[in-house]
Amino acid sequence: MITLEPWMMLVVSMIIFCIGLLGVILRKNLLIMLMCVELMLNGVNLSFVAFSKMHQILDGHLTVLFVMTVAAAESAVGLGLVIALFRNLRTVDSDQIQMLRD
Amino acid sequence: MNNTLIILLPLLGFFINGVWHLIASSKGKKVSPFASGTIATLAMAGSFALALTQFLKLRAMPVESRLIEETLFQWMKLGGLSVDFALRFDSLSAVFTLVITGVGTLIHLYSVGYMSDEENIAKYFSYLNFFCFMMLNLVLGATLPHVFLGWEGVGLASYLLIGFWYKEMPNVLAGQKAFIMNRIGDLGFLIAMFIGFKFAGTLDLLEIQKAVLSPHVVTVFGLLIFFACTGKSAQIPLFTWLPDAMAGPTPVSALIHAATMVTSGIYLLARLNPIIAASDIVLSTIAIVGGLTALVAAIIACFQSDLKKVLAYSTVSQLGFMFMACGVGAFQVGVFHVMTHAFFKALLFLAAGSVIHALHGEQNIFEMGGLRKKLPLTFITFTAGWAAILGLPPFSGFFSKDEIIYETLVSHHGNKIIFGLAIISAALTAFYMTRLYLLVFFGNARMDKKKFDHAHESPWVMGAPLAVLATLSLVGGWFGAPVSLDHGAAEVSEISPHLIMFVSVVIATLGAGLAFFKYSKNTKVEKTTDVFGIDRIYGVAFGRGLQKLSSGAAKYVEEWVVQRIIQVSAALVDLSGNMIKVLQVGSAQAYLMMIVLAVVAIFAWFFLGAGIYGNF
Amino acid sequence: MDFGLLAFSIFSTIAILGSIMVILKKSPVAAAFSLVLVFFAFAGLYALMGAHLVAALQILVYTGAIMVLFVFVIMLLSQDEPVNDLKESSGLFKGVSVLGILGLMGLLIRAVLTARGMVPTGTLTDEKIVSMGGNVRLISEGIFTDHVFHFELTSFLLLGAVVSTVALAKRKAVSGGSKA
Repeated sequence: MITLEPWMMLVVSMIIFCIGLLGVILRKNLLIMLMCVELMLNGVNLSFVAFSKMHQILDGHLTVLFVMTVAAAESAVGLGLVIALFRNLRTVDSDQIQMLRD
Repeated sequence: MNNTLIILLPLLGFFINGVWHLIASSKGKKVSPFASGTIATLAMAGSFALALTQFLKLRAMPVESRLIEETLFQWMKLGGLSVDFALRFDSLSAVFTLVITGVGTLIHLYSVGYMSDEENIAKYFSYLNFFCFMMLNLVLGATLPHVFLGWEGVGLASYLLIGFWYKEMPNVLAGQKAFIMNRIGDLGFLIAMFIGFKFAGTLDLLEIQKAVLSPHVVTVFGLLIFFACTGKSAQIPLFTWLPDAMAGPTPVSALIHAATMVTSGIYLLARLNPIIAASDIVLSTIAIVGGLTALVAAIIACFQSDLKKVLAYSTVSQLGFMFMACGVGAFQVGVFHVMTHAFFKALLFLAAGSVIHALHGEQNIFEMGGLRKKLPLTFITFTAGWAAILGLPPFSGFFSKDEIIYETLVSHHGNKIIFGLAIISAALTAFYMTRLYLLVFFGNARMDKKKFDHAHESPWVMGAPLAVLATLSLVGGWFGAPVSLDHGAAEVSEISPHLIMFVSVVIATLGAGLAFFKYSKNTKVEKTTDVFGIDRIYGVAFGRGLQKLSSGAAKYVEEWVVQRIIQVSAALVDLSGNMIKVLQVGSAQAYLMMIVLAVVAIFAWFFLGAGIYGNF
Repeated sequence: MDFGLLAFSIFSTIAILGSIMVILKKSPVAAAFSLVLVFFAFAGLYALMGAHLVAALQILVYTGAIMVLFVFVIMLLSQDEPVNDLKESSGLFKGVSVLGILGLMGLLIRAVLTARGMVPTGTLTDEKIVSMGGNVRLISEGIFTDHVFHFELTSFLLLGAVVSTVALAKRKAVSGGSKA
């Protein structure tokens, strides 16, 4: 009989990570790009917990807590940046933001 | 602790004088030569006193275990290589340390008088102390890298001091020549170290002697070491820098280019004598090269008119004698000659410096003459040096030189050719030294009347070292040599040492007599003759050859190869730029995609290809 | 089929489908709500692995804090109308991206599958965790003993984030910076 094993979780985490990455590459809306970054972070978190389970230690859980803290800080700063950009440029489209290129 | 202090005192002197010079020159003030010289001389004298106590301590030990070692710190550790910064004081180091610090102290003292008019006096003394520090590192270092440190350090000090009067171009060029010639030899030292580490697995001077090496390795190692020595000790083919090095101040010539630095090649050979003596090829190469150098340099010396140049070629010739001794396996005799030579050659140089000082910079021996009444002390001491280098009994040169001549004939490795070279060189030595002696001190005064009247005896700081060195030249031969380096010598032979002594004294007298007949009356001015034209040959062979090669290369290789390569590569860059330009879209997301593709490629290489994780 | 596997199938399907919806939905609000769905599914997955504290925090931090922040910003910027930005990029770009990502996914899955036969290096089995007072207790002890330094560092990080966000939000619009 097949039972639940950590490697299945790892497969799911990798799939989610790759979907998030694809979103970052394809979407132009900065808000959605940030959401996709959250997806990637979550995929990695899942793999931490799965590895933790696999190795029968709890360090992975601790790492996840720190990653969550960083993710919260990241989205706060990221959204702050989006607001600032929007205020200046009236857009959240990443293709429209190219002041450094010109 | 004492070993460390021996090398630290000159270093301290170097720092004090160096900092003093920097401060004084930045404020535009002059440093008092007396104070600066006192510091430097005291540093050397303290070092000498310590070396003497160490020597006495060594004497009190049993013969087999005469070694005082001090490890200061771990110097470097790389893979299997671990080198400690350690100082070893044994009987061989003792001889060299005593000579360096002893003669060094006297020459420092002499410099106080000789260089009293010099502007950058503190710089001079700091260089001189730096030289002694490095030279002591060379002879006390326990590992090959440590010896190499000293080896390079004395080369640097020599360069700085030859070019001390750097405002005149010839001095600068002479310094550069010495530096470059030494670098050529250093290549041999470096490769020898690499070989030593590769095959013996150690760079420790004692352990490398115990290592079991194949005969080929020993031969190559020995030849490379000897090549290094030809650079530092001015042997064929790298000897031409030494005569030019006389551009430096005379005390420097006495200390570095006669008494100490140039003998470091002998030190290295003696230090590594079990390896050197293990190969007949190496030994005979050393003996032949040493003999040829002794002969060639002696012949050149007969045709020089510059007082210091004669002494310089004489030094080269005497170094050849020492190498001959090493080449026949009589390392202890070579070291013995190093010691006696240090005494009498330093004496000759300092006396020559005294003459030059009295005549305000005149160096041409045909512009001198009749100085024995004007400079009595210089005359007497020079006579002692002259007798010593001729090998007249009971002066020091008699013991060491006759030992060498004797060994070339009776040693296991010696033969009649080397003996012949030695005996002819000895005769020539007597000839040119007597020529010099007569031209400088006897006959009529050939310089201006005013200059002659103006000549005066040097102050006591210059006279005292002369007197001490003259005494040492007289009695130095009775000290004997360290006997721990015996190889192939002391064979039972039917040739009596007394016979050889008699022969060599007769030969020396003949040479001197010939010079006496030629120069006692006749004082026809001779021009310096470049007998063999070594410098010219080098100029043609290397200088002009290289020039031809370069201009040819500039013409053809430049046009047909280099320019084509440049054009093609420029076109390639242009083409690839145009191709890659397409990817430069300016969208961060496009770049991100490229990163992903690259990561995929790298992962695929690791996981699927023959990467380092190939067996997943 | 046991309960664990069943629950795993459900939660992982929700997570994968939800995340695909995040990148396909035209409206940012719809994408945000899909993301909330994914976060809930993740919480379920954590709970399945016995990571109760992480599961609870997942809901509290991500759904409760981060997502609220997102939705708030979307409303603030009035960005709730659908944007068809996926159509903007060329078909070639999209194709290459999807292929590249699929390749990456394949390689990553292949890599983690090699971990299947690994021998555990630790000793904290589920039973042992329960006997030692449960996962929350152990993690909390870990944070305040071995990892207290890192924990303190995160406070600096959060402080920096707060300061920089305030600085960004307080800045006035740069005149003439408006380009689009």
